[in-house]
Amino acid sequence: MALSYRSGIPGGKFFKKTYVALMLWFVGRAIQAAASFDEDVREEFSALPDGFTFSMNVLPAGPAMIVGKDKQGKIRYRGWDPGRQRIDLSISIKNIENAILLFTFQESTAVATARNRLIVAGEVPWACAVVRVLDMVEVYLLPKVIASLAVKRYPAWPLGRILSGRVKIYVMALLGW
Amino acid sequence: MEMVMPPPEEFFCPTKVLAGKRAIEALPFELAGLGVGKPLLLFGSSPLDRFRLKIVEGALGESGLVYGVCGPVPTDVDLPIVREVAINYLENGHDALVAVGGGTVVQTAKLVNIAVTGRPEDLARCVGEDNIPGPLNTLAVISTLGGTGYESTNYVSLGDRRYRSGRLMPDLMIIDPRMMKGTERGEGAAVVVTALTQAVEAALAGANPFVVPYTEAAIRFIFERLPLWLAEPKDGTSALALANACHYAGCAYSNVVSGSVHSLGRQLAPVVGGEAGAIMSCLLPRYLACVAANDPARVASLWPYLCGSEDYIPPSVPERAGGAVFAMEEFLRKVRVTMGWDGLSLTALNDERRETIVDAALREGYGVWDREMGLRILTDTAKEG
Amino acid sequence: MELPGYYEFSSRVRIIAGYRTLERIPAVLRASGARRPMIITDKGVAAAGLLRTVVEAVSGDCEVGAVTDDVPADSDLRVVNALSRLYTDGRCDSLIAVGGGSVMDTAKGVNILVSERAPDLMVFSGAGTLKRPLKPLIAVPTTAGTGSEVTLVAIVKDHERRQKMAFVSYFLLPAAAVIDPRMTLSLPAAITAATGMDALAHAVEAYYGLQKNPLSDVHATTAIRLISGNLLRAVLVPTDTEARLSMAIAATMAGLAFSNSMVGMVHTLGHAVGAVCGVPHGVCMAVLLPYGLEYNRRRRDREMAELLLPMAGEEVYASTPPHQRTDRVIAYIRQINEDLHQATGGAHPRCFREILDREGRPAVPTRIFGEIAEAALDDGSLFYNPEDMDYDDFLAVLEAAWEGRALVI
Repeated sequence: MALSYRSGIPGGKFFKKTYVALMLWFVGRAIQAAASFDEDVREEFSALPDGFTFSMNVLPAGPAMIVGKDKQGKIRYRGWDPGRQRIDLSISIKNIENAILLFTFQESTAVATARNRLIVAGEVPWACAVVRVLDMVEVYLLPKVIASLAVKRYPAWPLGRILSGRVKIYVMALLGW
Repeated sequence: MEMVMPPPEEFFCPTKVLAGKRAIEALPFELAGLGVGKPLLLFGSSPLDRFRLKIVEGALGESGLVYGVCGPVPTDVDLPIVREVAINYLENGHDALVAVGGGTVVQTAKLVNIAVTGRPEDLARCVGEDNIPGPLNTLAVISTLGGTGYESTNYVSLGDRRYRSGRLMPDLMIIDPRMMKGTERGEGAAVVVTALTQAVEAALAGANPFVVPYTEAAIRFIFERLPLWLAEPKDGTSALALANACHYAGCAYSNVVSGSVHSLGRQLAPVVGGEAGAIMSCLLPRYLACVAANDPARVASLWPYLCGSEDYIPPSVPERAGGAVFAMEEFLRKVRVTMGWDGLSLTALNDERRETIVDAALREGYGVWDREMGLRILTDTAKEG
Repeated sequence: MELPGYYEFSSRVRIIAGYRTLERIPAVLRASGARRPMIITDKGVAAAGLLRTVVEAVSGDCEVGAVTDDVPADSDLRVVNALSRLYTDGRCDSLIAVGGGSVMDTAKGVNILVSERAPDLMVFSGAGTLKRPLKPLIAVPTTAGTGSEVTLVAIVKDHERRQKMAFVSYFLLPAAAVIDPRMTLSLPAAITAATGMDALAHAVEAYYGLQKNPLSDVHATTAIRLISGNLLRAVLVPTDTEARLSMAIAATMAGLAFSNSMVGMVHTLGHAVGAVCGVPHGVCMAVLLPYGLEYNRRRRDREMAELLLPMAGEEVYASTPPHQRTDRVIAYIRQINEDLHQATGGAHPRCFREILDREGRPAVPTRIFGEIAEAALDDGSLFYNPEDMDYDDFLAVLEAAWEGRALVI
């Protein structure tokens, strides 16, 4: 058979992209919610500089989530378009399939990091703080059975804290409080 | 382990390995890291090759990667094919090659890479050892469990032109479980035995300590996983481990001077017929025994990988060497039985014929073994029947 | 041998190791199209006579364009800028870096500036900012420890803006790493011990870390075998070139292992102790290594047991029941520290209490453990540790390491 040449056919992954976009949107708002009622999350953010902004995005041009500290120090979800904001810390997932692995909990943040699925740009201490926040948010959002796979160490919080926090985080994230 | 190294030893392995789940999806990011962004994909001629191409293209979806596809590459590569691919590469402004699968696809890719990096005349100029003057363009291989076993190496040939240079080694080796599906047992077994031969020859070749990790990893994976995979070819983890082992063996092999089993195997193949892997499976234990007779310590150092270290460890070096040889014999005998490979029939070769073969193997220029050992290997193998 | 669900491994640097390898450098440069290198080192290396050795070995076969020993202990942006000017003035076309981590980082920084011909290094900070190959850089390590000759990272501090810039790119990798025992022959006993333990810590942590993979594993075990067989000898018989060469090779191999498998809490705490108390890195590693195993053994017991084989050899491994192997590994490491302590006349410490500053006072006093624990919380290597750690966990380890007693979880 003769040799032939053609250009590559760029494919789309609409459903996966939509799913990841939704998850990022939800996690962004969940972080905003958790920062409003959880002491530990607030403490992590208070150690970060004023106007601190971080993003979680999928390369090359995939869905994104931006969260930042406003002038009053309040943590706000800032949508999916960085626009002209200065991003102090970005967690970039290298491709959409890696994002799927992360957001379907097949790979925890720790495993995903160990497997080089994502790259972190920004000061390392900030990255550590943000990961601790993400871990706490995941404990609130997910049932223990899944959360213990997602985080390295499931915290010894009283059940009351987890349950009431879980209700708050879902309600606030969905309603955007 | 002996660590004496009188002359300086060089070790070079420029290949980055990405192995496991969703490895193919990492390709665009890795190419960008190497400063390239418009690869040309090459694929082979079998239905399985086309299926694999589909998987690769599917994996590249949503990445925004701009690429071209050229193929199918036939099972016999000649200069016109290489030229045609090279023209497609240059005319369409590509800056990297991605070989989807092994065998002639990788062979073509390496040759095309020589032609497109410099000038097409380079294919003639760069023949031989270390004759490629500068770095070649980016080459990525998406491997399978198959091919020739030379995919990861610094070696490529075109007819009787042979090229050997570190610059030929791929920049990226992507080992993804999706590419292992559908591998035929015969092809897999043959390439793994080739890899085992490469690893053992590299391990026994000399004292370059940087080669040791690669040979150890290759031999361990092969001994642990080949029996499992032969028993159950759907065992994806074992297939993946074996594909890894083939890569490690190729890297190790590229950093030593080629050994006797390979050269003899190449010379024997046209004479006795049969698969290279099958031939090597007969020669390898005899080779090991020959080396053990001269230098038992060297063979004894292989003992932990071949026999394991859990229980009894023979205290003396000759005992360990003997144990290693026996373990190798047994392992390969079982492979031959499982695969239905015949023993190598060398009884038809008379002394004169054997000498011709050994001399031809020596002349290949890559061997650093002595003629006597070559003859002994052939004689001993013939005795085995 | 374990195969993770996914891994990456890269060791792109050409490694030239053995006796009289420095003399090979001109040929390597020529193969990359260069003939006029600039040699960069620091004052310590120069004072030890190593710079002269390199210059003599190299200048027979190529012309040295510029030589400098002006690199400080911590890579500094001002120095990078100054050395770039020196490079241009000397009409150089390549670099030879002779030294440890700071020299390598500085050389890599200079390489970016002179290759891109840009005025500001900051522009290239981060990952993926470099798009094309830089000038050839030959790395000649002089301490058998850091493995920085094989990494694709460079850290340069901007003291004015009080920032640490990190550069990550394949193009930063040296064209070759040249390992010649002459470079470590004159290393004093205590530094030989500390840098050797640094290499051991790299290898051990790479083996039980979260990013472990088959290739990093075999590099780690090969390094451990070499260290077990040669570290004490290199300290006791400093002129033994074979031991020195083996240790240098082991350090590079351990560097390859950990740069592909990352390190864990021994480094997390070690970095923190180093940053807060100014204690040399290798010394921190030596003291903390047993605790890395003790703390993580619940999750990594099987892996740690396997380390007994390269550490103690086949006979000991086979004769030790599997459930006792990890204990034996930990005891072995403590024994190495003990042996090194004796061999260096007490200079090599076995616990934090034994690390003294110039006035003979403890350099890691218990009262600043809190500060160290805080600093450790911000260290990225913690990501790769099998177990999570919080402030109290760090304190517990520090307290045990003060006296050198076993950690009880």
